[in-house]
This record gives sequence, structure tokens and C-alpha cells, in this order.
Amino acid sequence: MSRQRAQSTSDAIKGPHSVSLKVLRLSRPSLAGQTALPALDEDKDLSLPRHASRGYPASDAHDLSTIAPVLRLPESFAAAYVGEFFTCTLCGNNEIDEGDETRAVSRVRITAEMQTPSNPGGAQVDLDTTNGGAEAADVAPGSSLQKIFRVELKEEGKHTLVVTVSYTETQFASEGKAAGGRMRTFRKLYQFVAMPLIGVRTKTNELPSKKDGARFCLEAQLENLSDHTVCLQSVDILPKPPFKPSSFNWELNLANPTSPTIGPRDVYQIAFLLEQQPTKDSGADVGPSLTPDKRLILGQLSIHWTSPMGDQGSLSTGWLTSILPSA
Amino acid sequence: MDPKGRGHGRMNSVEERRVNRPRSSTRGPLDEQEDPLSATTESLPPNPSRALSPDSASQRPSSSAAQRYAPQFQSPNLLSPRSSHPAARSPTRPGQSPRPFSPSRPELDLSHLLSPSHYQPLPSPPQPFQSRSLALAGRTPIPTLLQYGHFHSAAIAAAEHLTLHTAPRDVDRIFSLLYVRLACLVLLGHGEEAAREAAATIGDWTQPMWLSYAGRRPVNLVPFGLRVLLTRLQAEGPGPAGQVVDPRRAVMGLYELAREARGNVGRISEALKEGEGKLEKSEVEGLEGERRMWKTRLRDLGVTVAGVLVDVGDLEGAGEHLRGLNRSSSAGEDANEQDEGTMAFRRQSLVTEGLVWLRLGGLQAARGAIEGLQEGEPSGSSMLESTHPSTAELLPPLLKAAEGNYPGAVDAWESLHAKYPGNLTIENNLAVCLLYTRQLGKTRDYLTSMLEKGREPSPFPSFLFNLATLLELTTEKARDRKMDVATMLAELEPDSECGGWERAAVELKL
Repeated sequence: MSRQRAQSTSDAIKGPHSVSLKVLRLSRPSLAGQTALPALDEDKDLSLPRHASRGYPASDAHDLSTIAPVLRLPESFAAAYVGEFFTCTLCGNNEIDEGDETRAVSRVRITAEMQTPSNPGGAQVDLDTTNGGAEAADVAPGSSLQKIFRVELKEEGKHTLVVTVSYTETQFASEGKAAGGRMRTFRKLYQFVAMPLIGVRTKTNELPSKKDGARFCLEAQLENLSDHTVCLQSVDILPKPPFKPSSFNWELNLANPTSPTIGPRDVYQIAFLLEQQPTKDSGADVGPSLTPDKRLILGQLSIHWTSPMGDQGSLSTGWLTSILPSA
Repeated sequence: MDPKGRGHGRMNSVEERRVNRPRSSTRGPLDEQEDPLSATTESLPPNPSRALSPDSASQRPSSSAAQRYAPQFQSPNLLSPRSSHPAARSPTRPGQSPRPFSPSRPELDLSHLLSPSHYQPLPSPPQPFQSRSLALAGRTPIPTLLQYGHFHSAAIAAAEHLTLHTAPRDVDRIFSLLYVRLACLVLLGHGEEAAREAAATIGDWTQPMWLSYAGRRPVNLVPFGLRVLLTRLQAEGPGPAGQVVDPRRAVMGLYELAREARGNVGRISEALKEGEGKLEKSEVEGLEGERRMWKTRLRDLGVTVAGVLVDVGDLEGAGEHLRGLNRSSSAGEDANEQDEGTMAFRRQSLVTEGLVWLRLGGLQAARGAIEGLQEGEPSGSSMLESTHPSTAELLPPLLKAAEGNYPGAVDAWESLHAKYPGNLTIENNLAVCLLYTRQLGKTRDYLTSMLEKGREPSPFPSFLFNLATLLELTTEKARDRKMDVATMLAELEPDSECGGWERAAVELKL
């Protein structure tokens, strides 16, 4: 984790804890690299052994790819971005040596809450309910209690993950008699900052209207604010009736509709046409909606992307508006 | 102007750059004396109790070193056996200029490559590996060091031989030693240092000083493989004299090499066409072999370009480049080629393309590459029964993991595990996906069982990294446990697979 605050309990009096807490952020596993060295010459006498530059044991020696089909656990906490899912595994580890019969640990329980800028009090985090949830479990010496949670980061700014571990520690006197048990608790705090990944700037232009109704062109610039390349999966308009959108974007290239990528700090331009549909019924509902300051509501932009190794994220803008048609 | 007199002043010029090089050895290739490089494997096995004795060494399939360095071939210059037994080489090739680095330019003096200032000392390997590495230093022939994966010792030995025991005109040997030095640095994870040494020694191999005009057309004296390595290293570090340059210039160098390879393929094809009916059978075979070699080199360069683009962070460029390679290989005049080399190349470039898209997160494009592989796969699986899965088989479960479908990925790895029991790649990938499905216990079982003694092949870098991460996640005593693992590894048989045995230090995060 990025930063960790000091523990809150007074360990000095009660002695070190028998259970440790370790946290690993589970972004997608990454693919290993390999060196893929060229042979010196066709004469292999002083070349390297066949498999020396491979990243994994394999039968076909001739592989000059610098990426190996081998998964690696996440290396570091890395940056956290708004719109992406934040997945973490929490491990409560029984640190008592296997031969140590003077102490035992039981009823280990892990709970977590996330403090966000809009909810500094913190909200309980759902620790996979499918598998026992937050119920206490017994953990053998040298083993661990593993929990995984997944939350969507919706706000920019400082987040704090508060993890509380509680367990019962039993002391044994000689001959295995329980000399006393006590409930122990500690909590750890992990801070990180959620940053925006895609910056959206929009602009609406009124186009000459047809006889059916007004037409608008919506342009948007998507800026990749991160330091890695982002693959756009979809960019859609969720229109506010009676508007109907049509895309001017990569889907139009029917021969090769590959979704575009945006490099770090690059900007990608998209555009949509929004046409007002004729009001078939005379119902009042289908008329254009207006904001309190009398601007016309066109719709919302919804963007889905993937980051390296397939981590997914999405973002929706607020209502995009335009001035009322001049007609 | 400047009251304090700091205006234009005259600086005394000091020749700081000129540093006296220690006098290099005058021993030449013809001097008869004990040469550590030419020692047979019988001499001084690094650890007498272990497998380096001639008996057990000969059981290894690749250990022909004992025969290769047998006394009848004991020439003082064994680093380039081709000059010592030319009969083993293919017959004379018409239309072929002199061997690029046969001593066609005896006047070529490479003393500037032998300066000790070019070669920096390496950080020592972690404690458990030190004793054996030290025992090896200075007395084991380099081929043996390489064969058993002692890349740290081999890198040191290569630099020592370059700076102390090599004559400046012994061109073959200097190039070979330089290759060993740079390649070992890369394998040990010191890519930047390798790039620095590459820039300080040969630097830009396109410069006129590396060209020989002895034949009908200029030939580069630096061996092809070494040039590929030098070019790749341009993507890793600073340029000559430490200046910062665009790492993508490595791609330009590779295109230059590809131009040479393509030119040679064309030239040999022409020679074959012209000589039809006039050339002897052996000559034709020689030329065809030559053409195959250049064609393979050309294709390898294609994949290497993608590798450099990956290294400099342009994954999209790499993916598009590979897609282009695949298209041009299955269209145009290459389309009819169905020989094994061509098919293997198509498979490899598709697999690489799939891996590139996966790393980028372009899941749609990755799916496309995987579908292309499955179409190209022979239906009756003509591949031999193997204990290793093909890389193509590993891609679909990797895609599942990238899609976030970890339970699906676990199922897929488990069925591959049943098909190829004991395969470490599959066990490693299965162990990683199990952690994501809250089965830490099973992850631990797989990773720790992979460490068991006597398992072949020995642990590979990413597995060690995953094991280290797991230990950090499951105990506060991770450092002690990792040291235990390193000690255990140091006792294992040294092995040259996957970057060798001393890599453990980096991967275990010690």
C-alpha cells in the first residue's frame, strides 16, 4: 500500500500480536518479460545455452518475443484511478511458530471500511460474502485467512482503507491447560489518492435544423491523464429524449473497427450527431428537457476503457447541455 | 561588463580525456601457453562433487563441450573454432564475400575496446550464491561457465580476458568476448550497464571503421548477432558519451540490419537463378542453406523490432507491426511457403501479437490473434507428444485472466495441468489465478511444491518473484523465509535455463 499509519494499539504493554495483517492490491496479474537475446552467429560454440534468455521453461528454444506467457502477481500498489475497480486482498496470518505450544489463536476476524472524501466517516467494505464474509475463522499456525474486496473508485482525492483484525489469543500453561484467553484487536490504515484517468472536455454546436427538429453536434476531447496507454472499449451517448444520437467515431470503419488507444497525455477526439425526433404523441413527456437555467439537455457521455492487462474502468459525465435553438 | 571579472576568460585546456591505458598483453593467438578459454571441461570443474565431472556432464544432451574442446582440436584460439577446423563448414559459396570477421583485415586494431575503463565491476551476487561464484572466478573456461548458467562469473571472466589477455588484433576473439560480456549482463538484469558498455566500446557499428572493403561490396566486420545485440541495447540506455537519445533509434538500426538480410536473400536467389545448370549440387545446397539462414535472420529481426517497441513502451506500435508481419507472411510471394520454418514463424509472430495486445489491454485485438492461431493450427495436432504445451495453448487462459474471469482461468489452467502434469509454467499461472479466487492455501501449495528438490527444470525468474510476493503476503518473517529459499537454490544444480541461477537475488527481492 502507498502509505501506512502507525498502529493504534499499545503493543508495548500487551506484547507483539500473534496475527499479522498483510495487504496486496490485486490489479490484474501482469505478463513476465524475457530477454530474447540473439545468437552470436550461426556457429553456436560461444553462444549462450539455448534456453538462457527464456523467461519460462519451454520446449521451443527459438522465441524472440520479449513477453512471456507467464503471469506475475502485481509488483506494486501503482496509481489508483477514478472509474476503475479497486481490488485488494487482505491476509490475516497466524504468526505463531508451528512448534510453539504456549499460545494459540482462534476466531480471527477481518473487517474493512473505506473512507472517501465525501464520506470521511467511512463505509463498510463487503468482504466476499460468498465465502463466509466477515465471520470469524480459526487459522492454524503458519496459515492465513484471506479476504478479497472490490470497490469502484468514484471520487477523486484521498481515500483511506481501514482494516481491523480481531482474534482470540489463548495462553497455555504447562500440560496444555489454558491459562487464559483474551480478545485482541488491531487496526491498520492505508492511504492512497484516487486520480482522474480520463479528462473529458465537451462542446456542443447547433447545426442548421431540419423540419423535424433541432440538430446538434457534440464534440468531446478525451485526454489520458495517466502514465499508461488506455484502450477505449466504447464511447456512447445516453441521449435525453427526444434526441437520438449517431456516432461519427471508429465504429464507422466497418472494415476494421478496432477500438482506439490513447497514449499517456494524448488526446482523442470524438463526435456525435444528436437529432431531435418528431413528437408522435402529443404527450408532454417527449418535449426537450431544460435545466433550471434554461439550457437544453442533450444527454450523457459514457466511456468504457481498459488499462494494461485488462483492468476495466468506466466514466459517465453529467448532463451535457446546449443553448436553446435560436429558431 | 562584469565587474568581478567573470567575463570571457581564457580557459587552460587540459587533456582530461586522455587516460593512459594499461599496456595490453602482447600475447597473440599463436603464442603457445595455457589459455583459460581453451581448457577442456575436465580441468577444474567448479564443484568436484557435482555434475560438472565429465561423466555426468556427458549425460546432458547439450554437453558436447567435452568433445568440442577435446585435445585434438585444442587450438589456442578456441573461441572461434571455425577457423581451426574449416572442413566442418559448408563448402565454398560462390558469390559470397569473405567471411565478415575472418582476419580479412589484419591491420584492424581493436585496442580501444580493451580498456579496463569500459568495464565496470558488477554488484556481487547474494550471499548464498557467493561462495560458489567466487570459487569459479578466474579458473573455469567461459564455455563451461555459460553452459552451467554461471552468467555472473562469465561476465566477469569475459571482461578480464578482454582487458588482460587479448591481443588488440585478435578480432574474432574480441567480438566473441564482448558478446558474452554484454549478453551475460542482460541476462543478469543489468541491461543499462550493458547498454553503457556497448556504447563505450563499439558504439555505432554503421561507422566506416567497421566496414571492410576487401570484397566486391563493403562487409561489416562486426558479427551479425553482435550487431543485433548492440542495436537492441540502444533501446535500453543512454547513447555514446552518456547523451540522452530516443530509444526508438534502435528500431532504425534493426531496419538497417533487415535491409542487409533482405539484400542477401535477393542476391543469393539471383546467384542460384543465374547458376542454374552450371553449379554443382553441393554449391547449390550451400547457397540454399545460406539463403535459409538470411531468411531466418530477416524474420527474427521482424519479431525483434516488436520486442524493442515493447521495451520502449510502444505496445500499440508493436502490435500493429506484428499484425503487418503476419499479413505479409500469409500474402504475397511468401503465401505459398508451407515449410516448417515459415509455419513456425507465423505461429510465433501470432503468439507474440496476442501477448502484446494482452499486455496493452487490447482484449478485442488479443481475441483476434488467438482466433487466428486456432485457425492456423493443424486439426489433427501434428505436433509431437510433448511435455510442454505450445505457447498458443497458454493464450486462451491468459485472456480469461485479463478479462477478469479468474474462476474460468483457474478451470482452464487446471485442465492444462491435467494434460501436462508437472509443467512449471502452467503451475505458476494456476497458482497466480488461485490467489485471485481466494484460494491462498492452494497457491501456497503449488508454489512451494515447485521448489522441491530434484524437480526439473529449476525454478524460473517469475515463479521466484511470485513466491517472494506470496511470502511477503503471508508472514512477517518474509525476509528470513526468502533467504531460506535462496540458500536452497544455491545448493541446487547450477542451470543455464531462464537466465541462470544467480537471477534469484533480483526476483526474490532480497
